[in-house]
Amino acid sequence: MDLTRRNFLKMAGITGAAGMPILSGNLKAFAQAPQGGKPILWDKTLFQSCGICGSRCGMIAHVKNGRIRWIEGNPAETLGGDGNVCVKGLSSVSQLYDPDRLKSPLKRTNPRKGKNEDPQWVKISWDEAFKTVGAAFNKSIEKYGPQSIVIFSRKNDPTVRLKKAIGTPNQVEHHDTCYSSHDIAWHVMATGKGKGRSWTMDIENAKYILSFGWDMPGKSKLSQCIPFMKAKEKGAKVVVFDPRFSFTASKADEWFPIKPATDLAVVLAMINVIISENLYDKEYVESCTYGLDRLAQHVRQYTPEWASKISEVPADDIARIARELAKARPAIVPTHKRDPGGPCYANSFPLAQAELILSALIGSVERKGGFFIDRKFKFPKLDEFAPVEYPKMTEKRRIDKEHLFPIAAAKGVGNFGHVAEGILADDPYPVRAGISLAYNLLSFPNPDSIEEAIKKMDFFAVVDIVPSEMCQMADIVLPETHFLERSGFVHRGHHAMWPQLMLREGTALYDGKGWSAIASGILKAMGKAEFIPDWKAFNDACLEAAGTSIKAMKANKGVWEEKKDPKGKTEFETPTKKIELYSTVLEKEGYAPLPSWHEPFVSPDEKYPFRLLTHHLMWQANTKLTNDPYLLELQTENLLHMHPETAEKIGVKQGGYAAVDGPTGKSLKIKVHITKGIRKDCVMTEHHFGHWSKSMTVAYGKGTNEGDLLPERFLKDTLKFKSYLPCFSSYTTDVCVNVRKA
Amino acid sequence: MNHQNSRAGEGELPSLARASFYQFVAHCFAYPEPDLLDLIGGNVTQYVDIWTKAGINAADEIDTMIAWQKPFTPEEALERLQIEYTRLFINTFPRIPAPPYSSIYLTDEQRPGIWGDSTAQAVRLYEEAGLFPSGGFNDVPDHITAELEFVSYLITQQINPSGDEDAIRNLSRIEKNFLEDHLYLWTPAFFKRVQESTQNEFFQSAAKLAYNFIEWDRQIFTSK
Repeated sequence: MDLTRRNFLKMAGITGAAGMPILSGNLKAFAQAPQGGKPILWDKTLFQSCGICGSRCGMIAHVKNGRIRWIEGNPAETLGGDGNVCVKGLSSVSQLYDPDRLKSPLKRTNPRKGKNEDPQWVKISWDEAFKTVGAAFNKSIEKYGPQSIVIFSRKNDPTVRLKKAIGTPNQVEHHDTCYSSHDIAWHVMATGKGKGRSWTMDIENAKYILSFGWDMPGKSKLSQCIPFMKAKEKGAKVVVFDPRFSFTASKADEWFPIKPATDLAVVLAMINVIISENLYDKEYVESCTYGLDRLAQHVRQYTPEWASKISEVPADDIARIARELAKARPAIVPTHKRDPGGPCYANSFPLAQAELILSALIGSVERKGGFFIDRKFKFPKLDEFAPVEYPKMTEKRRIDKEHLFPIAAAKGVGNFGHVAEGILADDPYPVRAGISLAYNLLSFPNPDSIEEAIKKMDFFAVVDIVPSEMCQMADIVLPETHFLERSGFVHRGHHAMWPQLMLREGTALYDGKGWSAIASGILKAMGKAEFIPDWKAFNDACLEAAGTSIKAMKANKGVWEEKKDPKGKTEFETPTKKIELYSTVLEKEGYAPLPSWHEPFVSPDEKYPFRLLTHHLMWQANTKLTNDPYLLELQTENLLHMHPETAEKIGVKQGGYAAVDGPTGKSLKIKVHITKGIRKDCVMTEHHFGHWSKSMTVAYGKGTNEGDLLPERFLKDTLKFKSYLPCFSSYTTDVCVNVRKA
Repeated sequence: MNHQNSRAGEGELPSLARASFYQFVAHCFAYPEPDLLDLIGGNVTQYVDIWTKAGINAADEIDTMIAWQKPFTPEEALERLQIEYTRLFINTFPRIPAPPYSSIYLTDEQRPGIWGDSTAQAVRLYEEAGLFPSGGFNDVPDHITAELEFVSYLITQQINPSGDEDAIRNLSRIEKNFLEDHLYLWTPAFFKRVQESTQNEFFQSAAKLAYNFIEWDRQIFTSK
């Protein structure tokens, strides 16, 4: 064939759809004009707000040559990071540019699910992804009813919309592994109306800081860490009760290595001392609290001597600290989550109650230097802004059995601990489809059971940003945008001394979508498009309600706030309008209205002589960041902290390996770290490790998951505590183990 | 590889061959869709002729790719290619063996990441040519398919009869920069890695063919 240009062009034309658009200029990856394409940001600073923990520190991201090179704090944001960013926040840049990040929706083609099963993913379009999820959900609704769908997600507007539009009661959060006891204690005693614990503490202005296992400075939770350091700079006294020498203990004036799960005894005794010696804030207690007399009578039995025997803290010190606390004004007993009051032990709830009582007695709730109830902008409610008629939810029982605990059920967030049990037994009904947003299997207290439960389901979708263990169990994987890719605004949650919004500016690297867009896509595919609100209009309405706009926030250094010290409330959302030291709410529902001493659920014995403590490393956040190579470098596996005497007893040296045998029958091999900063009857290890998803290419195979040592908490066990437990806790620190040389 | 006839076609033959070859390779390394199999099983043979005339022999590799499809129905073949493509280039475990981005191969960093300086380099050259990453592409701009498509575009624009002298000279300069300072530097390593990472003969052949083509192109281009 004599090749001429004409022939060639003709040939290109002939090939048509089956050929290549060589000369027609139909480009797939490019657009001709800037308007049709995605503009690249070459050198710019972007406002952001960290999405790794609840501190939501303001950030400024520096883009150079098209890429975020580094992140610094936003000095205009003074409640969270106050101009600082912690190492976790800094690591988010490498996570953003991690080659292992989820890039597009995926569908598994290998029907078998499990630890060693390659899902054999194929990339699919969002259209196909939504259609598949929608069809699967509709099928489940048709066959088993709307309650057969479970949504693992924190409470947020898109989740609540999705849940109500489907008509399922099963929106399930990590309440019981994280914050349920403090949350419900605050709910019944002070905040009421579906609201829960306070996340706001004016630590900076406290003259005395009494910590029962609170170690937020050791978790680099900047919204608490920075105020703590400021308080210390001003000369505050710090006292720490903790079975191990925590970071906060290292900054304290006094540290007591209290016996685990006995903080409740000490707090009850302190309450007794403060009341019987008339040291409480009389004016405050009289005007703001209810039930002092009954409380006083009840705690008389709890003497420092009695508490001392239980806790191994000297009686004189218990009494002295109580007096110091009451006399130093302002003083604070900071709590957060995953301290003994929430919800590590079976007796955590009464401790949470007692800690709040103590705080009220010293006049530190809604007062300078104490707790404040979070101050937020009054946003319109989504259901008022975009009213819809939801299907009637006929099934009120929950798969996690939270309906058996009406006070907790009113919050509607469920619990992780009993979900697997329910799903596996179809009790009270089958749950056969589900979706998970940003949770990982390893965060459940019973990962093996949850894995089995998911396998039992007909369909499971996972929304995530990295290919985690949860993704490996998915039928459909949906990539969410990384927080650094998101644009919009975020409301301050922790340390919300006054209402504050933070600006987010970002663009997606890949084909990820935000959760509201994903939820909307699913609703549309289910034929429920009428439930999709105009998210943009709603967000604009929220901004308007706060008196601002994206433009105004940008001009205001990325922050919008009504900065003023909060005026202390004197009325609370309880039936008596006061902080209920004696809880009428608990009494009404048949629970103990006052906290009493309860023995720990387990105690060391001959077979399992050590209590297993767990904690989080300062530079890790659950399982979110373990795939970051730089953070992993800091510590590549979890360590087993033990006292030198323990090490000698079992014959291990520093850096050697110990075998930890648990009541589950599983045994873990963990590297030993010897320290005097831990009781002789305790060992401690870190969460975050033991990833088995090989997609987590950095984290895979590093360390072990201490969750493997935790016995499952079955409903029949939890119900044993019902008289004093209005909410579930997974009591993850109520486990004792044996340790021997590996 | 037969280079004897590299100057055989006067004028546009090498350009047409190059443009079509770049486009073809871009197609092979884009997410497999039905039109890819149609192309391999169909009209690609006409392109093979052009390429042969220009001095590149791709017949063996194309034959292997055609033969690979034979035992399967079109649907089966497509799904196998999609699974393998996802495994090689998108998400899998232990890690995607061949991340298809220049920044992975053109960096001193111990742990190469996405959006390196080479990515910026590529995007700046795209912009100089009046192109911007498309909103529909949804991937990082130095993705192999984008880069190959870009070169194909540059070449075809230069043989566009309506283009003026200055515009053509500009495109030529951009092409030179893009190839010599960027694409030639990483794609051989990438295509080699693909060959080492897969047992799928379709992708092995595509990678081999691509590797050979880039070598050929480098010689023909730099000898201009």
